[in-house]
Amino acid sequence: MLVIQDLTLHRGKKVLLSGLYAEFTAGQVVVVLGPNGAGKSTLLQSMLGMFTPAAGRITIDGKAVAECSRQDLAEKMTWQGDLPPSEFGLTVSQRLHLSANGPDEAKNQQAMTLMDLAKLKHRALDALSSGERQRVEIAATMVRDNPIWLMDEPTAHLDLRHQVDCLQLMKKEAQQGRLIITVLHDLQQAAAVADTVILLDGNGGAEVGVANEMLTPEHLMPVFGVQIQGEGKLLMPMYFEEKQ
Amino acid sequence: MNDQRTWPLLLSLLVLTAVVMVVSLGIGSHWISPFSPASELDSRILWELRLPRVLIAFAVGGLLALAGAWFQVLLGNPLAEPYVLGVASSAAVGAVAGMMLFPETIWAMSLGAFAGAWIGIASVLMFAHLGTTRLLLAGVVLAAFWSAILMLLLALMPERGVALAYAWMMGDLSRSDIALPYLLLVWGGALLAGLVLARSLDKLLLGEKHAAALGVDVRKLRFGLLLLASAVTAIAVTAAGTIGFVGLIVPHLMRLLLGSLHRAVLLASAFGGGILLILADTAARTVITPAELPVGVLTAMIGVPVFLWLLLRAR
Amino acid sequence: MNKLALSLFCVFWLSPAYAAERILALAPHVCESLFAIGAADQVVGVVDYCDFPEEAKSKAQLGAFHHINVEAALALKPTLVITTDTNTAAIRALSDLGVKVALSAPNSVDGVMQDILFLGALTGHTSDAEALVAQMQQQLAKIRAETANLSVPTFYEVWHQPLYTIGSKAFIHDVMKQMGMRNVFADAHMDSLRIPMEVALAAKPEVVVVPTEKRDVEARELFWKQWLGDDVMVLRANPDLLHRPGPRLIEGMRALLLQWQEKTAERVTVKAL
Repeated sequence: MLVIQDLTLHRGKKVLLSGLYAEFTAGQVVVVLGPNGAGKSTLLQSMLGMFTPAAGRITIDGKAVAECSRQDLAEKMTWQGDLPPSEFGLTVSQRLHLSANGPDEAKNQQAMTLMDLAKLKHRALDALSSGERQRVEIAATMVRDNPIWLMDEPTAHLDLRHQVDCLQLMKKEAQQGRLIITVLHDLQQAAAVADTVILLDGNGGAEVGVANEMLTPEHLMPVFGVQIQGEGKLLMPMYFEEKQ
Repeated sequence: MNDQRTWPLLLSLLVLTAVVMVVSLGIGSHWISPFSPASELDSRILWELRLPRVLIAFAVGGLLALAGAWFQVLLGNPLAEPYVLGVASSAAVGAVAGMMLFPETIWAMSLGAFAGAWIGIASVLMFAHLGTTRLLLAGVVLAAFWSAILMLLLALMPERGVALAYAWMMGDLSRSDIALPYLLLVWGGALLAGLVLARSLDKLLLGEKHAAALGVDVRKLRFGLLLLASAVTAIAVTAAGTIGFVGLIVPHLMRLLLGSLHRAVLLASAFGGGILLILADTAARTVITPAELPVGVLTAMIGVPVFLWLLLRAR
Repeated sequence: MNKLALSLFCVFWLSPAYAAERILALAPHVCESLFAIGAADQVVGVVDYCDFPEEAKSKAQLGAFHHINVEAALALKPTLVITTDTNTAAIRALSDLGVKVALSAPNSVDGVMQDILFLGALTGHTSDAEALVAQMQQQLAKIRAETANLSVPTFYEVWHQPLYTIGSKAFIHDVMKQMGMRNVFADAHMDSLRIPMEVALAAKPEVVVVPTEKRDVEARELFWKQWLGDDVMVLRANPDLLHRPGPRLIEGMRALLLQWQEKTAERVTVKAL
């Protein structure tokens, strides 16, 4: 469904990524991991055609992203990223309408119910907390019924309950046939949802692999530069040196 | 704020426009009934002096409000406005420069104003990424700079300087250098263009990345908006000089009443700006009778408190 | 000792030696008056528009009246500056450096006469000034006599785009009054005012005076006739004579009156035919 060939990304003189090959099929959750500034968000944006790669190509259903119009891309992929500015007083329901592909009120209602937004429907965005606004963004992703979701830290700002809701949603949507590519920071969350993992090391190197092979202390420790303990779905950084 | 209110509100704005126009036609040195003027002279005053003035005010007010709304989306800043950003002044500089270089051609002034507006926007855009405060600061400083150049140019042409300075600095609706039918046509065209772009503008409210992800060709849209906003500012300035704050007050008020979706906001602003400027001008020509005030004095008196209030509220 | 100093000062102040002032004339009318009373030699510096008589142009130019070049002014070693406005930075600077300051800003026809006498006293040309004023008074008396019973509503067009006229505080207001023209905006107690066209129409002037400067006077005449009918009399005023409260004022008033009388006579003839 989404094929990455020899992708090289530069930001200024810094090489973020060099020569990445990967192929993702529908129905899975791909988690992008890596330290700050490694180019995780940039990788998502290059898939959206919003960041021009230094080399290589990305194709979706056989068509190169670079050759698609913005409209075509917007019908294939949905992007969830930074909280949008709130100065202009958009309401929750207007925000969702701007995202929706069509005037499907039932779908909007469903998304709002799932994200606990029904009571906030007519509130302006600048009257919401960051967590509430993040839920609006996830709902906005849901109402845009596209085969690929690109989610940049979807669990940011969320409380524990809504983090769980969000991860469950991603898993469920992937099982129903969507391709979800998401940037996460929490190893537990990554382990909970990932089918595939892209690990960026911040120096141009990247590794792609099946989640349970990738999410091991041996793979992760050199990339993040911290001690990690545990195995399987229970990975923990070591916050303090343990005194023995 | 909700959508059921949109159409009744727009309809009442339309009715209000008609009422304000008729009443302003009647008001002046003495009351003249727009439906039955008492004498031949009254009828001429009504149709040849008051009606053009009311229509110029309507068109210019609407254009300024539309330009204000566009600038606000373009810069992602609800305090942006042609006058505050110095774009109105740079257009005035361009118009006067055009007039000086090619005194014989009428188009020189309009083209000069357009070039001036374009330069003004380009200079202020360099500061757009630095955030609200610095953008506004840059706008204010640039406005002072353009005003200084304007004064310099006017000082170089003393034979028309002083009176023109008044007109250019504070607005003058008693005549227009652009024929009235054209001005109204431009008003209609600008509104239409705005409505065509409304959906994309809405998406731009979410920021450039979100807009692009939602299928908007942001670069093309921004370029188009720049072209549109500078053309509209230039035409408004050529017609009536620099009149401040209409572009700030009106879109803001309309957003409060109608929410922020542009189809409603632009439609309402095009009429609301017209209404505001007709009212301001009617006051300008009657409050200190027999003398009249420059209309820009009145819009500034309403606009500056509104601007400061918004600035306080913006945290 | 003090008394001695005081009397010495008085002697100095009143002595003919005073006639050797070095004067900065900071207004066209001041310049004209000083030349007219024979004090031309004492004038060392002038400002923009000091263009009469011809010799005035050869004096050192100091720039605009409200914004003179102070350093250039000081280089002329002035002892007296005559100005229409004492409240400018340049005047304060000159005053601080010991240059005497005199105000000459007459705002009425009688004021012009007094001003010329005052300038005569200042420069030691009292008798020349008295002679000039006597002559002007005589001509003014004639004008007054010819227009004694008139009070014709008159509109003075200071500027046309936007439309500006004068209020009761303007010098021209009194000039017109002295020759039988009643300013239709006499109730506006200000110098000049911007007015809407229809307000000018509502005032129903019978005479419109248009200064012959910086505008198409023919077009203005047509414009006013279009609105006020052919009965309105549009007169052209020479601003250099009429706007300057100096010795040529009466000449300007006479010229305007002559124009008015000729047009009135023409009209009577046309009607008689």
